[in-house]
Amino acid sequence: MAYLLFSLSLLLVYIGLAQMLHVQFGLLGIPNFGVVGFWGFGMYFVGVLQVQLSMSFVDAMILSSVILAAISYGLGHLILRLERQAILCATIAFSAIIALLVVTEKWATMGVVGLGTIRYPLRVFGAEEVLHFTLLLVFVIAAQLYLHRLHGSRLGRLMIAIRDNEELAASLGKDTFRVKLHAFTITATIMGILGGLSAALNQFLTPNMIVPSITFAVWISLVLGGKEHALGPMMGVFVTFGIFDIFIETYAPVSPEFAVLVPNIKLFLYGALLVAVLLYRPSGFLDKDTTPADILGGILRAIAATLGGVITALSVTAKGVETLAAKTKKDDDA
Amino acid sequence: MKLHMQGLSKSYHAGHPVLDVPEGTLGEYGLEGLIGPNGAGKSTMMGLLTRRIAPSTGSVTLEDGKTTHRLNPLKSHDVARLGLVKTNQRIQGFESLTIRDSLRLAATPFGQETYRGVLRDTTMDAAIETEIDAYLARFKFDDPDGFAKSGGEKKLLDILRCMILKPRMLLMDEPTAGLPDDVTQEVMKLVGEKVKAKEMTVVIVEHDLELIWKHCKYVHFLSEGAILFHGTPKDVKKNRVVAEKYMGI
Repeated sequence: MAYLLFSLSLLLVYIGLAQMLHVQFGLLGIPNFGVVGFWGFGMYFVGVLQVQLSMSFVDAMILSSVILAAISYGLGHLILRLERQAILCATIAFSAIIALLVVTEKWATMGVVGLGTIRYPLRVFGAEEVLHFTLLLVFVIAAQLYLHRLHGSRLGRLMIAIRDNEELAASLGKDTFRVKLHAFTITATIMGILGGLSAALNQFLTPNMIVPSITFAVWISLVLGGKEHALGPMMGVFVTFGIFDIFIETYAPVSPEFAVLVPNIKLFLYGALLVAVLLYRPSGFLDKDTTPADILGGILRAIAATLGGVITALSVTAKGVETLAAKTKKDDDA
Repeated sequence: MKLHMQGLSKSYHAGHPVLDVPEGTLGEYGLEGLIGPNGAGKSTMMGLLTRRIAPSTGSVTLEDGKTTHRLNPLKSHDVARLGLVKTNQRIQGFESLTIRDSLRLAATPFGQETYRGVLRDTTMDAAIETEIDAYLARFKFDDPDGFAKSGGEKKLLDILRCMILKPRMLLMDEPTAGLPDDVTQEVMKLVGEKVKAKEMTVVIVEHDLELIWKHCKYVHFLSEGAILFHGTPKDVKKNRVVAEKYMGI
């Protein structure tokens, strides 16, 4: 149960990161390939302040967010006027720098030895994990509600216009750079806040947590789920992290001799799914016009298809068993 | 609104200016035309005037009755906010926005796209909707709530987006290219009305000379990067340089 709660909390963190990337890339077209850098900054900064300086969680979070906002603002100033490829490289470089600093600055981060223990912010004995999960849940739901409003707002419309044709939007009097800079700063800072919330979740921080595969997992989720749909990030994380990492890896009834294969099969299926989606549905499961009714219909169809498959499989097996039994009986009679 | 060019030039390779205008004024006569052969530098001039392209030398100033604005330090969006707007020669658009949304985007006053506004319902503004409805009643689209489908619709949408910004000075870069004839007539009628009501001054870059002679009060002739002649349509038609260099007579 505790492990499930941890996994679900992590799932929420991933959803939060994908939501922010949805604003950056899905709405504004900023290809941030340094997601793990912003998240990792928040996680380590909050962790270091709490462990080394005995700061309270709230103080550490505020200080970390202010510093990350300043860094993101500065970084945005440097890169957001550039071509998309340049932004991509610069954000990767940013996350690499963070990953490196975490290893080298041993006086603060303890380097590869690891930093701990970071306690849960809400300390009610026995309910800390549940409360932390609830905190993340509230955070993600709030972000989701805001995203829904954003999609139907003037600001959302302007963001989409900037993604489609920035020069044209500017010629209509829109301050496109300002919109991009502010949105980048805000979303990058929220990625850091999610990092700060992850610090307590992980309790013990090591540099091998700041790896590019987190960035890729968030990107894959967004692309699979649908980068232009408000529910795309959530959908994508459920399909990738939810089904593969939590359900299959932890709960699928796999016999011990095959258990070692599961992570590899997971990666294989991840890849196959991504290729299939990119080939047959490039805009992701949810494209920008998908309605809630479509989503519900899709889920029902998926359940029906699964049930149908299971029933067919069962009936085929039953028939086979029957035939076999009949045959055995016949043989016995003979 | 008037535009002054002073020593304005643009060269991509040193010593080979694409445009070189020692001095010039646009917008004194309400509706003006800018003509010239292909490669004369017409679109470059439009780009320089709206700050989409940075000049190599020289300056542009915008005279607005009482105040004079230097455009050189400004960004593209600042120029639009002063009321100087340009329609595009090549088809430009927002592919994810419907025709109506595209017009709403343009009609939304500058800086009203706020984060707090996301929480209030501000997408629909009665005044803006009425204005958009009026434009859509006058100019027919196949499906105004859908996307612009043909090149003609996209071009028309580009022009309407600029009109709905209520510019004080409008530069039109080849408005008729790609537009059906009847739509062109209607656009020119609308432009004529706005100019007559002194709501805006207009400069039209065009190859369709009939349109220029019919609507423009004053015409500038641009060739090989320089304004070679300017005058009333009658004078320009009679001018030998224009005839030789452009009309091939």
